[in-house]
Amino acid sequence: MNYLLHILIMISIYTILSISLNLPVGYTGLLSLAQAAFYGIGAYAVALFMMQAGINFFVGVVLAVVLSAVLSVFVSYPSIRLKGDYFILASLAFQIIVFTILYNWIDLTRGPYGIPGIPRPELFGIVFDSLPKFFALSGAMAMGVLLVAKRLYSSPFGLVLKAIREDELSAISIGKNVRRFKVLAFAINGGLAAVAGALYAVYVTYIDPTSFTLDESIFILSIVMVGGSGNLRGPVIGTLLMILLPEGLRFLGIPDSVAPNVRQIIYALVLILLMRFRPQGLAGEYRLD
Amino acid sequence: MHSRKYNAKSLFVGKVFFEKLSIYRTTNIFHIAHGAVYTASAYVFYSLYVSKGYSLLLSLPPSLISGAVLGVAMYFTVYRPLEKTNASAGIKFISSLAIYTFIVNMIALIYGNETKVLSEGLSDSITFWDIILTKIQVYQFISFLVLLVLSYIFVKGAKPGRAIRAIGDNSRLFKALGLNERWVKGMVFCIGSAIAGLASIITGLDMGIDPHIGMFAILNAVVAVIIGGIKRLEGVALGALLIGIIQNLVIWQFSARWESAVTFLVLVAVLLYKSGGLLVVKRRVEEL
Repeated sequence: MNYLLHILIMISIYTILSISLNLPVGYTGLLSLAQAAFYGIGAYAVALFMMQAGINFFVGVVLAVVLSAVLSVFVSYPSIRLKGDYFILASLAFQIIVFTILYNWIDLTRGPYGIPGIPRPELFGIVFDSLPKFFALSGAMAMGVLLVAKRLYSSPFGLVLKAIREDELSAISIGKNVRRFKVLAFAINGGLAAVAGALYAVYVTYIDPTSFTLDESIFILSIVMVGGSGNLRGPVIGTLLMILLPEGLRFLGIPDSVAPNVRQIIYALVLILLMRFRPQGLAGEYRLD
Repeated sequence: MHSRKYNAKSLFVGKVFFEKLSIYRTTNIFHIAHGAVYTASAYVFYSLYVSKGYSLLLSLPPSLISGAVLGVAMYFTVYRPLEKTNASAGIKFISSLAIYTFIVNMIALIYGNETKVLSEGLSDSITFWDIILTKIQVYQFISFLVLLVLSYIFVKGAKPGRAIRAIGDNSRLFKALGLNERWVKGMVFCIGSAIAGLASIITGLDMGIDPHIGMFAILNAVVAVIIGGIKRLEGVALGALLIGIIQNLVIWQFSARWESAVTFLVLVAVLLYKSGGLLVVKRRVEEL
């Protein structure tokens, strides 16, 4: 039962990450390799707010979201005019810079030692310390993010993003400020990813920089690519598949020492085949063109 | 300190020339999987040179050839079909990342994750004035210069070099003239991969190898290429040199811990203010 709850909690955290990445990828066509950076910023921000400043978790989440969204502008505002591969590079650069800071700014983040003993969240006297309670919290937050995303996708804002994705020139010609919309989409992405980071920090109660590496960014981008982007279904299906697949391997009796490699190999094969035969992903609406 | 400077330079030895200049220019593929070729060649070399105990000269050619074969295989099994379906740059990039992940994890599965040493013990050192270099570092520097000159001659002069430039400039026209695009691109992957292998082995002899060296090398090479400017060979060499110097200044003045952060800050700065790189080719508007 605990095992099942743990998987469900991980699914809710990754759902938030993939749903938020869906916005820049599936709605504006910007591939980002910085998702783990925002995830990490959220985790560290909440941990530090709670432990150093004694701020309540829920207030901390709001602050972390704002911080992460503001930081995202540093990547997106200057680099959005860069096309295709160059935007990926700029986001990758941000990812590496953030990781290096988390790893080396020892006074603030304790670097490779990580931050242990992050307190559990508390609301009106309820402490979310057991797995069922925590699942209720993470599930509720994931549902919240899904609802926000659903509203967003069908709102005028979402429609403009879609218009930009389909035909940027036309969007400009009807007077839409494409750059502003892209920056906003990226900021929302950064903010929502920070929510996932916050949840992760208080769930595991120990964070260190190795959870927020470039590999993690690649993994999150793969989730969106496998599931497909441009709608809600895609990222959710991608998350379910990519989280449950390695759990399935566990039952096949593959030894623990090689399991991570086998898992990565399977992910990679799935991705290569999908890109070749179904570039829109399993349930996506948007093809990266 | 001194050793790092030459490492950094030699790191880019091969990657630099063909990573972007040829592979990117002719195919428009952001070839991250080049890093996997880099890693794989070093491991083939490890099996022959260390495990089997063959001599250096005997182990080198098969390692380079297997790197080249791997690179060409990547092109024909993954990229070529994608090109036929007119896949976007994003899709090719994701596929490339996936190939990289696939190969690196295969290597980790076979050889394990720990660092392997290619050459035992300390190698002899040579002293010029107050600079101390190991023998390997001297080889690194020499191979860097030789490759620089060779690829300059190749790209500027020989017929295949001209074909590479032609595809880069206008691939549609190239095909329309009835020239064999597939052959040229295959050749680019072949040569580029062999050189990546050489770079990884030379670097590996000095610093040892592990399955993840490829990503570090490829990222540095990409940064060097973009800083210098994609369109010109001189730019690439300049970028490699600059990055090497900047990284070593950081290590010297601050600490090695901030090396990658500064490298990528430089990249971002160049992307923002001079997105064509430091040495830009002047082109007519209609060519852009």
